Amino acid sequence: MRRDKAPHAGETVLGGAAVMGVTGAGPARAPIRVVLADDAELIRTALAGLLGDYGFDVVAQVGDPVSLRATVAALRPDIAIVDVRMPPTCTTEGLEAAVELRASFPDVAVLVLSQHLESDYLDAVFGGSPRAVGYLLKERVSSIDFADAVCRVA
Amino acid sequence: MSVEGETVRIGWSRRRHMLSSKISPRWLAVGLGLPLAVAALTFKLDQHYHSLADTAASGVGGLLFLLAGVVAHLRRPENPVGLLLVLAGIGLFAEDIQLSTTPWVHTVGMLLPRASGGVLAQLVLAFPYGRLATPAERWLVRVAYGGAFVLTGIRALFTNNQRLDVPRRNLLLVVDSEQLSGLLDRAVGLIAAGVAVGLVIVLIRRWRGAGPPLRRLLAPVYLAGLLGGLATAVGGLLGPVQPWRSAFLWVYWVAFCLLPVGFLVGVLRVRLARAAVGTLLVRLREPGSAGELRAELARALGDPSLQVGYWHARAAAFVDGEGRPLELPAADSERCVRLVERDGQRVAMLLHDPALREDTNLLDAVTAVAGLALENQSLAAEARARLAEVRASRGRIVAAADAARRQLERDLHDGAQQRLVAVAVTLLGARQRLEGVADTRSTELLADCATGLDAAIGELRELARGIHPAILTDAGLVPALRGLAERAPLEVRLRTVNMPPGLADPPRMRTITSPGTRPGQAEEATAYFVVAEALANTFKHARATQAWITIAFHDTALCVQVTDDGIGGADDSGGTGLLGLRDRVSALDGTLTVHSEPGIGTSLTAVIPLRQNTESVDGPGAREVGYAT
Repeated sequence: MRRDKAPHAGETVLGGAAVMGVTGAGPARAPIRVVLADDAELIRTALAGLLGDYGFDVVAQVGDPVSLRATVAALRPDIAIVDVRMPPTCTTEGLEAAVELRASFPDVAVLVLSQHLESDYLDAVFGGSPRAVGYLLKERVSSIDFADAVCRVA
Repeated sequence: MSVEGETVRIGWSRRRHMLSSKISPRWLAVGLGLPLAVAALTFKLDQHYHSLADTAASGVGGLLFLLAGVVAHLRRPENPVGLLLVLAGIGLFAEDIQLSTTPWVHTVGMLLPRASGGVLAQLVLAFPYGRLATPAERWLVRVAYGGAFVLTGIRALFTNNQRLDVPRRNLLLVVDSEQLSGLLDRAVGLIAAGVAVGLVIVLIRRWRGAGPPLRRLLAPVYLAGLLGGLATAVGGLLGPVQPWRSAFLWVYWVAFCLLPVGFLVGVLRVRLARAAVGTLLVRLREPGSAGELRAELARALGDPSLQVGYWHARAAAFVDGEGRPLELPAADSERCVRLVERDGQRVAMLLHDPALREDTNLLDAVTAVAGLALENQSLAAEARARLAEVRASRGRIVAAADAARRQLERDLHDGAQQRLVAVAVTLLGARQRLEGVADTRSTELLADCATGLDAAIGELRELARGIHPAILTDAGLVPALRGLAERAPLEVRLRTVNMPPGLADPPRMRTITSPGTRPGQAEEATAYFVVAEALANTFKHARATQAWITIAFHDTALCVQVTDDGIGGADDSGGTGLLGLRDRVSALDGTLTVHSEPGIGTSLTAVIPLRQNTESVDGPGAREVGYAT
């Protein structure tokens, strides 16, 4: 099988960035409250640690769309970081949950994490509203601009 | 070459007809029937008791029975119907012998006033097989004969005909009792009526249970019988009012004369069917399909319900022309089985209407003529059965391979990829903490680590995508192909034709994952890999500036085409990648074609049929074929 060419730089696609106009590499005053949704515990834990280092307040970590919805409804975080693949079928449940969250809780920003950059997923995420929504390739969370992305989306 | 076969009636033992073929109906008709006819007609004419028309009609009717019997016997010597027809004719004339004034002739005639009754009952019941099929039928015939001969014989002992207008002397007279004679006469009449009712019931049941071939044989007889019966009934209801009564009487006589003709036509129709064997011989020169062969055989045998079973030696069972197992009729079915063998090998089986047993010669001729064609079709059917098995197993292999690839991709995603990403995140945390603390060299080394880790994650991701793109499973063919086009190093345009509404562009969450409108997984994966391989070839060899992917959704097939504006001249057969794809496509009964003209470009087209039910190959069983980690 042919190897696809390497992904372009700056794969962080930020719908609300221009509008929000937030800058800076970390939270300035009140810590941004984050709910993390990813069924892969390793990454969830690592991300939570990293976000804590950056000064974010990770208020909850969940592993499936149902508890994500319940947690968001109860805690009303500033931002929900959601993995595309989630149980039960591990296909696009996270994506669906993200779109649903945007519709139900307009004040909660959503950042979708994906292993793959696929334009159809982008269409799905940004189709409803381009504001306060982000889509981030998972491997990019290890880059320096992850915190920046979270900030800007939130 | 030898064609052998035997006719076995399912659930019914073979029964030989009781009447010996030693009695020659021809000589019976000439030696006994004709003299009796001359005598009977002479007596009738002498006495002026019967009308001329009545005499002529009964004479013609009786002679027609004799003639039909002789012809039927000549055409079908093994069928006792001919003999029964002759005996019925003889019986009809014998009934008039009692009109003689010669004492001994009159006395003999007194024993035979209803001589045709029993024979006619047997004839009607035995037609067209020449046998009595059920105990009820045999009892009916016994009763009819008993009434016709035994009771009338006893009646002769008490009947004195000296007091009639034309006095006759009955040599058998023992007791002159008009009362006893009348009583016995009424008993004989009642028995005849009872037998007639029984006959009607049997005939109605037989008609309802008969297939088209049998009905065609029965129809002339039934029509004549119905006509005669109606004429008698209506005439009787109207009462003795001229001229209607005589008109109905005429209808009755015409029907009576038609009856032997009806029997003869029934027997001859079987005979005529043999001409179809010649036609069959000519038509079978052109080898046709199993369905055509069945149609030809059905036409030649005059049995539209004919079924042909081909012997599948490996499965030790009969299969139909498509190689599917043949459903045999229930054991109590009336259907008959004819086995066809060639050189001692079982070849085929004809499931036919029982009426065809009537003409075993025709079945023999047809199976002999069609033996070779049947053997050919039998071999073809077995080959088709094997092909179907191979096809199914090839489809299962592809589905299993797809399932294994999907599983491998998922395992990579859930395992190594997650772990590496987690390490990268942790490493990022470490770098953040060491920023400004560690020395330059350490910072550089950590940055190198991060870069290397990113590269590894990227390579692993591409590897996983090559094994089986997650988006193909998750979102379907169109999003997956769109992704493929977007990552291409040259401009690739994607065009969709006739896309189902559920896959409409641009997709939305609720629709891209709805499986109802999507083709089966095997079809989607095949189409995807065809496009991926074709694009890879384009990038590597075509020196193209642009490529186009066209995907067309038809009701019965999925069409994908990849075209480029490159140098062309691609080898159709070249490349193991293409060969593997061809196998994949043909595993789904599809086709893969390549058109590549130098200077114009290359076009690769795959047509993948869509199965109505994808479960057969792509079922839950196949999906569970996992990849051991």
